[in-house]
Amino acid sequence: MPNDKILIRKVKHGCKDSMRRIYQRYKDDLLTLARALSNDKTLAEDVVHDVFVSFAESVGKLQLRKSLKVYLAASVRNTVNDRLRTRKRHTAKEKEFVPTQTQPISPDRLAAEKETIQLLRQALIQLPFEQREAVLLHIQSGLTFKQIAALQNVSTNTVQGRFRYGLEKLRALLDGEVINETDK
Amino acid sequence: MRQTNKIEQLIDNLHDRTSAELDEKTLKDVFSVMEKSTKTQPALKQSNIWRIIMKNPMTKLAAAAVIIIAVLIGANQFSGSIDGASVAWADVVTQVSRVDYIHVYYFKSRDNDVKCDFEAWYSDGKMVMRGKMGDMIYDDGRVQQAFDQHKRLIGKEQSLFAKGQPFFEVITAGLLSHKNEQFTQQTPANVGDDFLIYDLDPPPDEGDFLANVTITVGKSSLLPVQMKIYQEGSDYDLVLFDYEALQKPKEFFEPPASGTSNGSTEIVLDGPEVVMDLVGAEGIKQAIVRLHGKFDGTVDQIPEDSRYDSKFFPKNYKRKGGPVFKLDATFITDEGYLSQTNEFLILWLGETPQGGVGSAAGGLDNWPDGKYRNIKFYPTLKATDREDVFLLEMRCFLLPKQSNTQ
Repeated sequence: MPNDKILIRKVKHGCKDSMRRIYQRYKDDLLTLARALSNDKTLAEDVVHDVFVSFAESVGKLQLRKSLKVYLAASVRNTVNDRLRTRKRHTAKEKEFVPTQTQPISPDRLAAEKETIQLLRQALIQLPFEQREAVLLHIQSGLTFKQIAALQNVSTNTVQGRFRYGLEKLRALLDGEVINETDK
Repeated sequence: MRQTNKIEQLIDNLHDRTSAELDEKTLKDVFSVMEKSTKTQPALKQSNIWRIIMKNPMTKLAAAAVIIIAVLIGANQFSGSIDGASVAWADVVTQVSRVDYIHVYYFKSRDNDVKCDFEAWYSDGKMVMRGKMGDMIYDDGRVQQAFDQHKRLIGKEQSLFAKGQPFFEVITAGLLSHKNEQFTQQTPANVGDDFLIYDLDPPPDEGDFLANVTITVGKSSLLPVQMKIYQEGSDYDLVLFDYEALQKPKEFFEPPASGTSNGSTEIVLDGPEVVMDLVGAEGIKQAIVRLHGKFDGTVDQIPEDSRYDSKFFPKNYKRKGGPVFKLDATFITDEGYLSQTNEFLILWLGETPQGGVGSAAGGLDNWPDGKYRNIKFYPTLKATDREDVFLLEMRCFLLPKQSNTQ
């Protein structure tokens, strides 16, 4: 299987098949990331579409030194961020998914995998956006803390803090120990 | 309790699949862009970049500055080779080391939005830096002091130039240094009538998220006029230099008075907690502090710890040396609420770092009354004539509202 750099080089020369391979390789991961960040499937699909169109527009001048996956994940993060901000959906969506008084989630309910995922999504959306970003970009997309720090324009320490608090809060939410903490 | 690694596993197992409709639509649009860009890319890109530059008044000024620089640099002629293609980077470094005044604009382009991040002036071993929020840094070559926009001292530490490094070497993270053997023999990637353009790989420490660095140098003066630092993706930082000393700001070099502390106490290393009364710290009446965890070893011996583990600490420790100490601080508000630091703060003797209370030091609204508060604090640790006893001075204030400026 050709690596990303070879595929990008071919795409730069107009090879559609290479672009299709890149799309097939990353589309699901990017959709997963966008959905987990936004908790909005429709928005997530729009984001994946826009990120690939934007990638096609800029690939001619792209000088990739790290993995394409990291580059695309960062683009998804930025686009989700923009969408949530500019459409003013951010607040609305969070309010929609954060119960006025969050109920502890019983561990017994985690038995069914589908339900677990749903509970995880609900728990994720209760995290402040920066913490959610740190957790998802690090675990789901494999970005280093340093790369996330550059995206969030904060220090690596701050990202590590956000990651740690995010995980702790998720753990507590899924174990039913923390009620709707809304710190930033 | 659920283990953290299980949570990580759960997140890792999140998996969504794109629909056939999305695949079809995306690929159709992507291919359409590819076909279109092959035909029109150069003209479109030029037009977009120009539009972005001209929309931003700061960039307009900076663009003007480049033109001025192109004229001014003729006054400082390089006496060596003027065959641009053969001018090694080492010649530029030599010429830079002779400069005694430098003015810098630092812009950041993020998501096609260009903003001035800071402006700095350097002269005779001293530097003043003004941030976009009006915050200031004064560095006299010995000590660096940071003030917020209200002229409150928010940080004090060893000067960036304390070990005699030239200004350019510091602000280019070592690119402009004779020690940088990676680049000294490098010649320009492009040679124009008036400028040489060097295309350099990023310094090893920054290589994780920087793509490359281009530096434009005046062909006659061999002084840098522009540095462009490309990041992954389309973001970049743009640094513009000029050498016209008339533009020094009134703040050069008159730092504000650093103010007095809100409280001080003697504290014993690895001793009990100490309660400090605070005076004039609106909203906060006391602090409970504990000093522990002295470390004075080599960089290789830095203990494994969440804070020590960051890449910043070893760098700073290598630069400043030990000893360092850990400070835990709990603050008591006027209402009697207690809050703790997220984790210990690392202190060097005589320095004043910034600490914060709340999630990632950004404040919390889960206080007992549900209101938001953020406490910023600035401890200074001083030695006494007893080895295990120190003087701790504390300045702090409470922000009752969320603010992006602190």
